[in-house]
Amino acid sequence: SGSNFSTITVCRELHEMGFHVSHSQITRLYSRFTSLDKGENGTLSREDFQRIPELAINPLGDRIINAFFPEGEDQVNFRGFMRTLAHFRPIEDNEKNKDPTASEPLNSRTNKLLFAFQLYDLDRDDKISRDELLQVLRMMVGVNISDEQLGSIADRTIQEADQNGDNSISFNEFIKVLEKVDVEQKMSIRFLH
Amino acid sequence: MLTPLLLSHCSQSDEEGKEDEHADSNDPEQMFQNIQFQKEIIANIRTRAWPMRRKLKALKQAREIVLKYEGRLTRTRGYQAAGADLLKKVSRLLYNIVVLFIPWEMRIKKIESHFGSGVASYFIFLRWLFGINIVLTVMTGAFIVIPELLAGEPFGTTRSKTIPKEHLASAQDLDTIWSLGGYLQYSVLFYGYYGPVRKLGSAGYRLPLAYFLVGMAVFAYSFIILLRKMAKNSRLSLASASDENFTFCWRVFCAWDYLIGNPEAAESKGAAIVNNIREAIVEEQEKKKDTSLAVLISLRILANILVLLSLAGSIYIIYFVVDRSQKLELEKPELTLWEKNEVVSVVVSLITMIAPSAFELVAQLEMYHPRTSLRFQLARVLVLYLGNLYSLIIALLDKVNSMSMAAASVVSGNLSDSTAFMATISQPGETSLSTLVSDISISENHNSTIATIAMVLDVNTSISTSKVTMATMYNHTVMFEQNKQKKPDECWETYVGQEMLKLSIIDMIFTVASILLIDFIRGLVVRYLSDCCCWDLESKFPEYGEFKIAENVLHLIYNQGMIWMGSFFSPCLPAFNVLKLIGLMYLRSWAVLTCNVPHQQVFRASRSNNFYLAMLLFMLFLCMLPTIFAIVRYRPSQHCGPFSGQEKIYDIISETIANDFPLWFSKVMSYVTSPVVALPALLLLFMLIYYLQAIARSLKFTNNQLRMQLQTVSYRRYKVPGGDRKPDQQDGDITSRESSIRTPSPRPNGSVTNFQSPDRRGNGIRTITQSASRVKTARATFAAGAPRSPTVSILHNGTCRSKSYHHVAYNPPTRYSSENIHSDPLYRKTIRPLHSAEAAGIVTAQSYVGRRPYTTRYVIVNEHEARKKLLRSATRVPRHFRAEDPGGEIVELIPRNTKRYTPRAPHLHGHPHRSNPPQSHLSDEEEEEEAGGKRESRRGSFGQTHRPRSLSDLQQPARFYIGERLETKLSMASKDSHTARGRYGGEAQKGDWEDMETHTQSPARHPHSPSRLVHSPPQGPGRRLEPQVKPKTSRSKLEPSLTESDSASLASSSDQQNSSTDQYIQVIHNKEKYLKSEARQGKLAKKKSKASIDLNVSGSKDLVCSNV
Repeated sequence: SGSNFSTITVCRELHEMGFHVSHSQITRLYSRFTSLDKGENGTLSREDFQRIPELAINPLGDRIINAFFPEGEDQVNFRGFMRTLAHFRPIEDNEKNKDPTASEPLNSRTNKLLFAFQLYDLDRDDKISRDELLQVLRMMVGVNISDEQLGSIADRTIQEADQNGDNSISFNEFIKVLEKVDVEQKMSIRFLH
Repeated sequence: MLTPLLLSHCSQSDEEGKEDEHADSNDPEQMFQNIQFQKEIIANIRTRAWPMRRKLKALKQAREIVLKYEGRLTRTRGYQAAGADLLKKVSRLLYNIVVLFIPWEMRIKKIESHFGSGVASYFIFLRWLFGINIVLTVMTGAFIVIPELLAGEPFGTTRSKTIPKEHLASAQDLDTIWSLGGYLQYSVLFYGYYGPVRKLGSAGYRLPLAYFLVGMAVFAYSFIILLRKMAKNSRLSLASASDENFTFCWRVFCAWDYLIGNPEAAESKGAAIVNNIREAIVEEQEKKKDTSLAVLISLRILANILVLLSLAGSIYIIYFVVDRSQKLELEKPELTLWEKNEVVSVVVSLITMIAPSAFELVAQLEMYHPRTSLRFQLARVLVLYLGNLYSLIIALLDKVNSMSMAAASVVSGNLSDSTAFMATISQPGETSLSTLVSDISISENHNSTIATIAMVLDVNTSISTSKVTMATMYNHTVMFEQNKQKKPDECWETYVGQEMLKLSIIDMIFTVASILLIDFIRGLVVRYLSDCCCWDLESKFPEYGEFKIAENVLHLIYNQGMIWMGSFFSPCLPAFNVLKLIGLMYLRSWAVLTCNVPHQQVFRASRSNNFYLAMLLFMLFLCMLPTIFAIVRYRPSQHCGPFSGQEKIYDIISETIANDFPLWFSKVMSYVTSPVVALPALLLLFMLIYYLQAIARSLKFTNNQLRMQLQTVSYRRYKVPGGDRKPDQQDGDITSRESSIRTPSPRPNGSVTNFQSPDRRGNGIRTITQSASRVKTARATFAAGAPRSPTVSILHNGTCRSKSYHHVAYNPPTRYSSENIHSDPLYRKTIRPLHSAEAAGIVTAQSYVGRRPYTTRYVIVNEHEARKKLLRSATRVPRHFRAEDPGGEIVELIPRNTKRYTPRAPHLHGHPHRSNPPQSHLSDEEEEEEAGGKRESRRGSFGQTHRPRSLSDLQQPARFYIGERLETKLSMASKDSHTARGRYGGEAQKGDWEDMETHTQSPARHPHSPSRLVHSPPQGPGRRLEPQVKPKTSRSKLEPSLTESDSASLASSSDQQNSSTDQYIQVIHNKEKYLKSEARQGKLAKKKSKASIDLNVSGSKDLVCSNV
């Protein structure tokens, strides 16, 4: 029932974000949203996300789901859903030479990286500490590797990336690490086209 | 006319757009794209958040453009584009389908994810061999077997295709079949079945020729495919080498594939990540491992001695048992071949089982990286297998020899008009004499010689029959007795083929048995009996089997070697091998996944591993030798096979040339094969090889250089994190410039400083080589983007000047105190806060500098930090700044028009130049500079930026500390500046050192003659100023402080400044870490620095001496 309203407002909102999507694309995403929304209350809960198989089996799935929820909330509406997804919009050629004065769109390289960074930055202090890294590693490898080995991996990782000697990875260092990774390509989903 | 670009918010690119459009109208490709773009706009305009008026306007324009230009394009163009799209999609689909059809791809991936790339490399190798065997099968099948089956004479028609009557009864016995006798022996499986008819069937297929050519082609193809694969691999490894940066970070952050939605795939991926990390751990541990070298070397020597001993021992044992079995053959002729060889095969298989494990134990002594030790293991086991194989080959050839000699003696006997041939042989072990009587009736037809050999045993005849023949027939008996069951008409080729096929079959059986026994049964026992056993079976003694890569790979190689060796004599051998490999693939992969545990130490095996291939090549060569030898050396059997009746097998070629080719061809061939042609051709080949080798070497060199350059460029490109970098116009320009600039290629050893400043005036390249005592390697290349670098030309105007400059720049330890300031990455951190600390004094400078995008930049690649950081800094000071260094510790930045008195400047390393403006020199330079500026402005890269003329806002002098003093200041600063800035600071710091050196050096050289100091000032202060310039733009824009006279020509030279080129300095830093405490030492360092500077002055004197 609220679909029309949502589509229009979200559309406007997205435009404000510098995010051009067509009506049909929003509609498609909205239908996806509603199909995920098992409670049919116009919002998604964590459980709704966990039903997505890709997220369910992803060791970092919980982190990704977290990224959809603003601090302290456990429901996300379509608008928030879209805002998170906007990070994954591909960067188009005609956007690259855009007006430099405009604020950076959500799907810029930096914002994509920031999204990834926040997956690892649990306490949101803009640093990936050794403990946070260890948690990620533990999630990925399970119990197959001993703690001290994982610890040494985490140490090496930080040592590699750390430039200012604070034994953690800041966002800038994170960017540096991934500078050769084609983030624009890899963190893009063609769901809008 | 408004343009599409306007529509996409690009307000300021209006003019550009027009130009684009103008260009468009000529280029159909661009025109087409433009039209597509317009159509897109028309389609999407509704969704734009624009006012309606604008939308309408844009829509109208877009429609106009489409209408106007669409007609110009042909309709086919549209179809072409659509077709190209479709083609792309279809090809992608096809590619996906093709991947589906790559045999066992999924299986291998699964194994790889669980067992690591090392185990997977075995299966990939197996698959590759499978491919080769398919081709070999097709070759032999299509050109030999099928023609023979279709057009050859049917079974039972000729003598060579008929089972002899006396064997017919036993032809279907299991025993006969097992030894490949009976029907199998007289089938297409073996050489003997093929008929000697020169032209087969109505089509006149030349089977004998084809047989020979295919036999050779098998080898040729194998060689070519092997070498090609190796070449490809080495190319791959060349391309994928390096890039060891951030391995751990990537493994941690980029490991997961977020598109995985299938639980099984997720499990595999998880296992793969675990393996990956374990591989990384192993690599890391290997790097860290450091035992004392002497111990290690002695251990390795010991290990090699042990291995050599065991190799020699095993080869001796094999030799011994082979010898024994041969004796046995003589002594007990009634034994079958199998019984005689029983001991040999048992011993050999025992050795092949035990020795590799022994080698493995020995390899643990050596403490190599697992990958290296795998290779050693492979090489050692290969030698072992070769010993095994060659003992067999020699035995075989021995028999072949005797067979063909028998045939030869038959012929010779025939020629010496004896119709009956009797040989008597004494058996040394027994008292009775066995006489062999061979009755040979030979028809006069040479081609169908029929030999009947009757063997009479236990006949006591006089020994005196013929002693001479006895000796020669010694061997013959062996052979004859072996083939007692067979027909007397011997066919040694078939015999060899039988042996090889038998070997291959036995090998297969053994493999299957060992997999089932050693892996499967053991796994079962360990799994189910561990509960009722007093110790833990799973972790203690039997454990689960590990997949032994070395042995398995070698087994494949060995197996393939047998195929190569036998394929000439048994054309169906490759086909058999294909089946065998398929079976092996399934069995092995099943066994690995069910009964094996991953190796304790998983290690990375590169896909482009040439080692297996090299061994295979070695094997191919060794296996080709006996075959070729047999073909060349022995006479083909006279009554079986395609070459019967010929003197040598290869005669078929010359015969064909003589009979079937025109006369001129055989003439040509005779010329070509004569030494007159062959020798020069050989020489030419040698020369060609040498030439190509030389080219390859130089290409390799160039490759390395280019790779270095690429690395540097890519680092620079990403240098500034997107977050704190404001996209301004100069960025694009800078990047483009950067990419056009030569980057240095660091050399690991040798402290070479290279400066290249190819500018127009032909200053050419100056290379200064010097050995710095502490900077182990410092190679910096100044590549000034050639023509548009007037500033550079200033810097390097005189050779001697640039020399001194660079010299100073790169020889810090000689002049500075013991801290190696240059090389320390940590140093940057200490410098970072400078800006805020000095903010008060610098504000003006900052804002001022922010407007000037034109600077000469020095890019300093910090090798010591694993090339991670590429630094860029401005190296020039605004011209109206002057550096001042009153106390020897403080550098002051003073606007040029500020009169500031610096009492101590002249005799310290300050800037004597200021007191003595070297007008005469600079005027030249300025002219050049201006000329350059004009050139540059014509190029018009970015002329909008101007150097501020008003210097009044720069009244406040900025104070800078250099050396430790600088750090002191820095450490006091607040921490709000971020890393990027810190980096620049560090870089700038380097610049500082350089110019400070310049200052210090000049006075040192000519203590009281300031007029000589002309060269140093221009670049000196500029670099020192960098740190303060950074804050706002994250890229400092500074200019050299030139002399007063220069400041007058500010306006004219400003353009030139724009064009100043980037300069790169690549510094490979001293390994010695700069002390962290350095930063904290703070104010204490004051005195120190003073002292150190004094030191420097004296040091530079030495330098001068050495330099001049």
